[in-house]
Amino acid sequence: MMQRRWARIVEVTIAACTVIAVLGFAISKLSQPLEVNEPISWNTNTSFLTVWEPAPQERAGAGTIQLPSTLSNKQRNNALMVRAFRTAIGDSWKSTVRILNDGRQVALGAVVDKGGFVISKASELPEGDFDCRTWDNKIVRGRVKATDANLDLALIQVDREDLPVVKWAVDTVLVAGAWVGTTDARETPQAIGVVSVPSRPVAPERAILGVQLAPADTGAAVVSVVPGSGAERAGLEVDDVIYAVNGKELASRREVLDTIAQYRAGQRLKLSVRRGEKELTMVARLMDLTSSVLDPTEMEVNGQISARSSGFAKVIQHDTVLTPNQCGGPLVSLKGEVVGVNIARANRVSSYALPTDIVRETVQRLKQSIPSGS
Amino acid sequence: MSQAYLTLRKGVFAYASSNAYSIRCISLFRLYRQSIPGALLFFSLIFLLSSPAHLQGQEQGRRPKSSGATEVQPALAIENSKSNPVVGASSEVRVAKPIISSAGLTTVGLELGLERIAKGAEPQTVEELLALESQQAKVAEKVKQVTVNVQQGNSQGSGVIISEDGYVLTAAHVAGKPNLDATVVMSNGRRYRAKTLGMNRNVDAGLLKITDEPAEGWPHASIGESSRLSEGSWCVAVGHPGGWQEKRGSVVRVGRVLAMLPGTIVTDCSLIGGDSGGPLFDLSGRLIGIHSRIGAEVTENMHVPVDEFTKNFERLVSGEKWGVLPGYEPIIGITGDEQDGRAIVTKVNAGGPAERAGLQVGDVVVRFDGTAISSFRELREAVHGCLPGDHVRIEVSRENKILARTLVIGLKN
Repeated sequence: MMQRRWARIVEVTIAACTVIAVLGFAISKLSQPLEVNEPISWNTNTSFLTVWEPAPQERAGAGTIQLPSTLSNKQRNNALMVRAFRTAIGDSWKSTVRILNDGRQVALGAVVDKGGFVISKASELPEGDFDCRTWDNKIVRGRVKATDANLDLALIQVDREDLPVVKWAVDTVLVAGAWVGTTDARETPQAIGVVSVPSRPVAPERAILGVQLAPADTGAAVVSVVPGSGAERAGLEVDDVIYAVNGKELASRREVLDTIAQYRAGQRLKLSVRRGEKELTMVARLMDLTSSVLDPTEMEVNGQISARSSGFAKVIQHDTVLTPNQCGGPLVSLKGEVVGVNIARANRVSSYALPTDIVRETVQRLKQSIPSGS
Repeated sequence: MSQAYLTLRKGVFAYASSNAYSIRCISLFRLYRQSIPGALLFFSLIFLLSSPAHLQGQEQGRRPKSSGATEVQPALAIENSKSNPVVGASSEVRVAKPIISSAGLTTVGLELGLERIAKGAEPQTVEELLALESQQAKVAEKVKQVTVNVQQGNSQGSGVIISEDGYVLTAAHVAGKPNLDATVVMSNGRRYRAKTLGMNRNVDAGLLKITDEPAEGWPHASIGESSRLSEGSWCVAVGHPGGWQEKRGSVVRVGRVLAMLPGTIVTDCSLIGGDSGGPLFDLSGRLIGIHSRIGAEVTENMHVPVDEFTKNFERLVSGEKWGVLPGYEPIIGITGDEQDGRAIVTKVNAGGPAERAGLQVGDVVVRFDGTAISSFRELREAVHGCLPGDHVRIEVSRENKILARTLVIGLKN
């Protein structure tokens, strides 16, 4: 399937240069720069919409490169490589669980302690009890017992005590270029990659809904919706009027913006929306889309990214191609030792994992925070 | 498939999805290039996102023919380099002008047992996998010192130093044009002034030279030969995706060659904006390519083969500029008379850049982007020196008055 795509390349090196020129022009016409504190940024001028639909003459690229009709199957993660990797990591994959919501995987988790304790990515987890699929293909029930919102880690307890606990890497010095595997609750790893940056902070970005808002009689009117944003996924449309967030009625655009600003990326907001004569309720997720919001090309080449993908004091950056629902589980070295817990898919070239020392400390802290008897 | 993906297809890039066999190639520095409004946007972005780290560049460069100890001859320059790509045969070296030193600093001897894998095979045992890991980690460590960020105008990309005297390879679309001021930022954050030199836009190959002191002694990469690559060859990509970031530094990716095409290497080393111009190395730490552009799939990453630099190095050094970036031909939308001694406009295309700038039939172009124009041919050449999206000042003579206008270079469909 992938091979078919290689049959031909139409080059569009133009892309964002022209797009950006158009956008830049639009912005240059705005009387004031972007408001830093507003979830939606740009003011109410709608001219930025030209970004999404540039004039025809500024679109298409002409150049064509002929590629082979079949692409090499020699990708770094082909079957032979994955087989070698599987041999190397041994049974370490058995400490992975898949966390399900309505039968679909929403995250992975790492078994971190006896007694059914599993750590995972908090913002991807369902509320209440949920199903987990374990290494032996059994389903067990689990629930979040404690959460660290800063790290986006949640400690889960599942109704099963005999799951094998991960083998933590001790004294392992991670270097750029080292192989890492994202294990699955089955023998074949989900994905492999290499360490890109052994240790770095990721500055927090603002969480946004992904709409541009104008004042309305009650609340705020949607002027535009950013493609790929939580707003779009929730079904918000232009001219919708948001008049309440999480049940709290809001009188002005300012109030709507201020309210949204109180939440974090990954959180879901219940929006009360007036569309013409109808009143609707929809749930939209905040994302820290960062610059992607203004750059549809980047949104596209990034593929799916985690809603919460910034604001970590220290991460391992690796180039494993993950989807958001493959985060939350162990990142292992070639020895099968856990060097970190995947915490976000950030963009086309970056996945982040929280390093082992931070995760272990957090697990202990969260365990102690659980009220006894619960 | 993500919703975002589909949504975007419906938007700007919808045209590309009509062909099931097509993918788009996206310039890797798009965020970082272009004109004043582009810059405005850029800084607005920074403001807006309150993110400290959107800019950056890196660069790596390499030079012709000096891959390690086996290569003895230091001189690459040849008289007829335009038509005669030198691939190292010493008999072809006719000019004694040394261009680069014999060996770079990035060569890494192969680990025991890696011979088979170095030829493009997969590791089959844990030992082989570990040996590969050790090898690529050594390469990753060594190449940091030669990988740089390149800033030219409002654009940023990456690059690689390839000679002791400070030549830097990058992508043509990062360098922009010959003889422009640029800045090279080392991995430790130190900044040095540089000048852009020649470029082959047909393959997106560009060259810079660091002009600041020291004049000698730059850490530089070992040059390899892309002609020796084949499908499956392992490679290490480095760059500054998203721009130079103090607390992050350069970013390493590992992948394999998936296709060798004329003027292009395709790998699954994932790249994104800011990587343009950055280096691709083989398992021995020798430079084999320069990052250029990407398709939508994460396995679609294109690099300029290093041989494209080495075979034309003399032309690049001399500041010559030739070719057109694939899919990126600049136009201004006018027709003129090549025979006339003046650049007189005989037709203005409706909706084109010239019309939008207010040009009319009968106008005589006298200056374009700072260059005096005395014939339509000169105007054509000046336009070719620009990239689509550039904002350029044009002066025309109309009814004995000189009018100045700003024009946005268009893209030939």
